[in-house]
Amino acid sequence: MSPLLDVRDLTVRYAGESGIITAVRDVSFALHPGQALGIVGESGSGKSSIAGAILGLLGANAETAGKIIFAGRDLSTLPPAQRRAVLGSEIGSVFQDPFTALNPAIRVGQQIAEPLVQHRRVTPTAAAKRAIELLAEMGIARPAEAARAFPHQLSGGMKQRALIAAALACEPALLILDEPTTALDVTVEAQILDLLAALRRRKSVSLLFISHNLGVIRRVCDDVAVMYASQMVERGATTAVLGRPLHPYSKGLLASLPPLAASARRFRLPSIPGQMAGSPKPEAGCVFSPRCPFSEARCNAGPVDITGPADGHQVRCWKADRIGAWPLPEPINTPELIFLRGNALLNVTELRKTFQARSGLAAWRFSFAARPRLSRDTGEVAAVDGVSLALSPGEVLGLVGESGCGKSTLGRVVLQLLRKTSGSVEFDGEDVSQKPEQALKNFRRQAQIVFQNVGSSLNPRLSIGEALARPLALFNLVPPSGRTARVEQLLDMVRLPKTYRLRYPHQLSGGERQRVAIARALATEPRFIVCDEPVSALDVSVQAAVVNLLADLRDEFGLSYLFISHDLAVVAQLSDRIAVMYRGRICETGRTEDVLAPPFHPYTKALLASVAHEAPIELEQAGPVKPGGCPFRPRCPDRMAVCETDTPPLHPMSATHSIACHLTTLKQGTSSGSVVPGFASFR
Amino acid sequence: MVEAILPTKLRRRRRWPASLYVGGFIVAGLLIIAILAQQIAPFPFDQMHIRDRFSAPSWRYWAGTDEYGRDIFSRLLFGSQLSIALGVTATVISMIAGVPLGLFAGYRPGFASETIMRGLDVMMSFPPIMLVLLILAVTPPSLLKTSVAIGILFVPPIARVTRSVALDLMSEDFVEAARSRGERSWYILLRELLPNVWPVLMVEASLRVVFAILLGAVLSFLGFGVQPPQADWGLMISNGRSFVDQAPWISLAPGLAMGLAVIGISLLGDGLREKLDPRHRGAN
Repeated sequence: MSPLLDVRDLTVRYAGESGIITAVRDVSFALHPGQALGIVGESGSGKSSIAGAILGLLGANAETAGKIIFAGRDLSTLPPAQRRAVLGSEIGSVFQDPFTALNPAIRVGQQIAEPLVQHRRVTPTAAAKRAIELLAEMGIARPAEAARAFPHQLSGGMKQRALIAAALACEPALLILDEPTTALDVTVEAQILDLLAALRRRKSVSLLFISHNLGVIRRVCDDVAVMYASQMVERGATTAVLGRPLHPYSKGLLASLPPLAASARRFRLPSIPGQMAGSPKPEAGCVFSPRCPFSEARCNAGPVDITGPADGHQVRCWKADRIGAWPLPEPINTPELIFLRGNALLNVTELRKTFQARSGLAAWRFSFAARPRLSRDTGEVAAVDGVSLALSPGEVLGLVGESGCGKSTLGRVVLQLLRKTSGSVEFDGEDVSQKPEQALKNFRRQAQIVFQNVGSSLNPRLSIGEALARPLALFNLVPPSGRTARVEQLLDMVRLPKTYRLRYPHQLSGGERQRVAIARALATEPRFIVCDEPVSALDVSVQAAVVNLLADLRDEFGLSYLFISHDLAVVAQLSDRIAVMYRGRICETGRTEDVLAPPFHPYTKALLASVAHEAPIELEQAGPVKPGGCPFRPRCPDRMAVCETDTPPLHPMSATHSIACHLTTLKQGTSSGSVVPGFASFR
Repeated sequence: MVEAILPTKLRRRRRWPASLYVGGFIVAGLLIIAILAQQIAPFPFDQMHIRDRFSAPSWRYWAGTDEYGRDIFSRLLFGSQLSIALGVTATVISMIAGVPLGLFAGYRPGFASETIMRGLDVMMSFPPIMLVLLILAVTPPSLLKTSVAIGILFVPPIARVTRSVALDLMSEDFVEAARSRGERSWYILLRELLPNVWPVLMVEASLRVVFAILLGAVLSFLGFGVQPPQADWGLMISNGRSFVDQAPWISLAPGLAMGLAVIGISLLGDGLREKLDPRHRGAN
């Protein structure tokens, strides 16, 4: 059988300000009809450039060499007009960000119908009808309504479904997906992946799936290719590559994924030291050898070829058959702490924060329904709705939830960056939420924050040294003469070389910037740090190192973290306790091992299933929910009559574990837990 | 993607943008000419050579003469003093007033900022000439007053640009990090916001100098601002207007001079923006 897509010796070069950069080097692969090939790699590995080269979307500064043969034609030599005709009609594509990929001013249905009119010469009315059918095939409940909607009226998951529908409108033989689920919540991601698997079976479309996420690749693809520093380093069947990786990079990548289980304080994640070379030189030797624990002189003696059977498991490592597993880090000698209630560092009680969607004149509504009436509707939304939690010195509390659940808002209200609507935030015995800004100086020094977005957390105009020296000057912690030394000490604490003092943020990689941001937070000698998704924007290999760093600092300085993340596995790795948040409320809280072991709140169960890429959740993220009753009820598989009327309180399951669900009261009534469907054990 | 794989090695060698050299050269040249006008000019600016009216550019009159036989080259040199002074003074005035207003409005949105911005909108909705005339009409004309009037006229656009950039910056995490340290407002405004607004302001300011010179020309034409027999470039262009068919050089020379100034100042502004940006420094 001849392959549908045959890429041979593809090389992509970019002309940058600093010379020519080779993003993809001699990459070859074949994709057969109905097959799904995954391409994994970290940012900068060249994986997206492959998609760009196939689709002809690389900019004017890019130069490609090699053959891209699609259904017998070499795409790279086709004239632009013919190439455009192939794209869209025979090759569909879906990109990462569903929030910007749809034109906000055009109805969704029209955007799906557009390629049909363009490529298939279908009449607009027929195309509109087909668009509704496609939306229905994508599992959207009310497709006609969705087709009439504008993009902002749809959720992220629905937008991505609509984009897949548009990509599939002309029934292409190949669908190229570049990080299609990266911007989505885990529960939504699971649904999209299921949809893709089903579509592949039903329509026998081939998938070229590009992702940094090994779990996602494992779920969708038959074959996988691992990219590192512009080269393909390993290729083979997914089960073989992910089950028994041969290349050291693949081994490291798999090892540095945090397991979905509570971790003792002594343990650290295996990580890949260093970072990917900016301009790799494969002719001089293996590009991975500077980071490879198995490296020896011969690795740098000359170019390393990819070896192995053409259709089987190929690897670019000359001693792949002789190396063992990725080395595990030594457990650290640190005691397991037992946290006692009552001597909390941070005590949050019944905290509420509401936002008004409209203010001033815009809040007034004038209606003519029965008689002219003027009413005021500020569109008030409670982002944090009655949250109570406590944090002991040295303890890490993980806060998990989907985007929009209010977890970041909670972190900012705790830090008094946003002021509460009601409730209280006690820090070290004082209610800081009552104090005016001027009286918070001491609190500000002791409570710090680390952000998600490594691109914007450092001022681009301040050198690293200036950024780190500022907190020292502000709180007068170190006399001016000793500040340079202290800055170097701080850099050392986050495992960065002292010379970085003179650099500017743009000269650092994402992981290094995050380390500087952590050092800046540490500069004030805090006791408590809010970590707002600190590793979500980082590559897997870098993520493990930053998580380890946070764990080291916690043990060294007895820091308390409020660790906010959507990634349950990362949270489990670092946290002593976990709080699961849904729509501004905490629906389950307890020690990490309690939360990850049954019984679960139905929402926690859904989250766990999505992360494990197992049981799919059929329910779409719901729209506004009427107040009163359980906020999760529209998505809950186990909802009962009582859920519509009463909001469940946090019900203690044990001394350390509480769940806010009506099932808990039921469970106490019956003798066996398994009678209640929601609490049937996980797996 | 491309940026991520760029080398992040620190280099000592710093390359300056070519636009900075060219722009700087032109602007420096103009400034020197303006300062040394008295020494360079072959004739006093108001000396008439009645027999040489409308003479074309020649060895004696480099840029020709006007309808009174005055040497255009000499007038151009003296005019550059007035035009440059007008452009720079007006821009400085508009920045002094506009930048703080814009920064404040971006930093602390609310009733006060809203009032300021709407007030500036009202100013912008007036026809510019009318607004300046309103300021100038009641008092005798002078160059300084013209500069002040134009400066005031340019406050709203400067404030708007500053505000829009500052608003963007306010959502950056480093500003929130500063707030979480309990930094005072002035520190956030001056150290976190202003340096990041500055590159955009440099470009805006270089444009404003040019606009101010052009507007000054219009005002001189209407009889406000520079008074004859003195002449800035704008007035020279408008005077030559009536003789374009028989003596095009009367308008051409000041026109070319103005064009050169515009290009020089824009290049300088562009080059400075690049130079000031640490992202263009060191690495790359």
